[in-house]
Amino acid sequence: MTRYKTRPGVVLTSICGEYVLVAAKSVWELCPYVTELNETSAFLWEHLRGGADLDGLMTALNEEYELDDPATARQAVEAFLRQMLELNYLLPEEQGECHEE
Amino acid sequence: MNERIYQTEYAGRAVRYRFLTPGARAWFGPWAYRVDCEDYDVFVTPERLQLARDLLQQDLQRRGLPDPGYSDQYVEFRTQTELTSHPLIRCGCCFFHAVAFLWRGRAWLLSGPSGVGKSTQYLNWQRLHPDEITVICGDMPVLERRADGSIWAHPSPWNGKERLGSHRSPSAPLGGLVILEQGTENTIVPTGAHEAIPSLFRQFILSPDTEQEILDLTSLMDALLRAVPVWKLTNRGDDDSTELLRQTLKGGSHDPL
Repeated sequence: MTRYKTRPGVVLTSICGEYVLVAAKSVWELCPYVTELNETSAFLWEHLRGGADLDGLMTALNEEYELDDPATARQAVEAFLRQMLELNYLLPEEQGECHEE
Repeated sequence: MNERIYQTEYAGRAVRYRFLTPGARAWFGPWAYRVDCEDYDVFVTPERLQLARDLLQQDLQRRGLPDPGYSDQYVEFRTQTELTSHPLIRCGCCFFHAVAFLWRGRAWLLSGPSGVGKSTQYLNWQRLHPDEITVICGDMPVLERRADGSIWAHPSPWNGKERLGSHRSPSAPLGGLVILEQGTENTIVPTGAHEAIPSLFRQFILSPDTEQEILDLTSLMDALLRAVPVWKLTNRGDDDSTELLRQTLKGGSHDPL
């Protein structure tokens, strides 16, 4: 199973309760400068940044939102990862700290 | 001659410049004065100047505008805003692309992309209600976040092609922000944070280099959105749109200080 990590230089922050991912200029050629996130995605981003893998993300989501159906958590996590990968905010864990050239 | 260091203050913060091209200093006028030191905060390198010129030309092409043949001095002056924002953001200050004017003891920002009619709205207001408003800065005022949560608008040398404002222009606590867009009808509506945030990222003149700069910039945005109301004005640029703007700000402004 591929593990992912958040791209260095990308910061999750909140402005008036709205979650936003903001990229430093050094990575603007790789990913968008600004992307707004919903609360669930922001929660998953924080856990991913903390080193969680797919199972860890699902467990955290289940505990936080007390989901009845494990499939719901998996769908949410997979949708989040898909969106973040499409926007290039994530790196496979194997790539280490290096930026893509 | 080029090695001489000049200093300017924004919201009480000193920034030191080393100029690349002869004549670039003239754009600052009375804003910059010579200081006897070797250190500086801002210097536009030749490589940076060329990059800025390339980006300017790309922007003109994208907007279908002819290249007016900007001088090196002018390109250097423009580039200095972005570089000046780096030392300023550490102090909770940043340039913001807007016309800022004083009305009823508060500063008001007319914001939006170039060509949307920011100066037109200001000049309409000034013509319709002479002596009622005073310009703070016509293009890139400095916004400052203060410890009490208020946001202040200050003048800067970057005052636009109409040269609205000077080093003697006033500073004032912010009363509100208006985001302009052109349209066939005149409407103005309050805008929440969700809708205003993308515009703020476009209008603050800073490309954050570090995670700390991102946090400082978003902290300034957060304070701004908490401190003052925001409206979106869709307008034709005519007198009616300016009266609509004036009446709205009159009704929605905070109590005067």
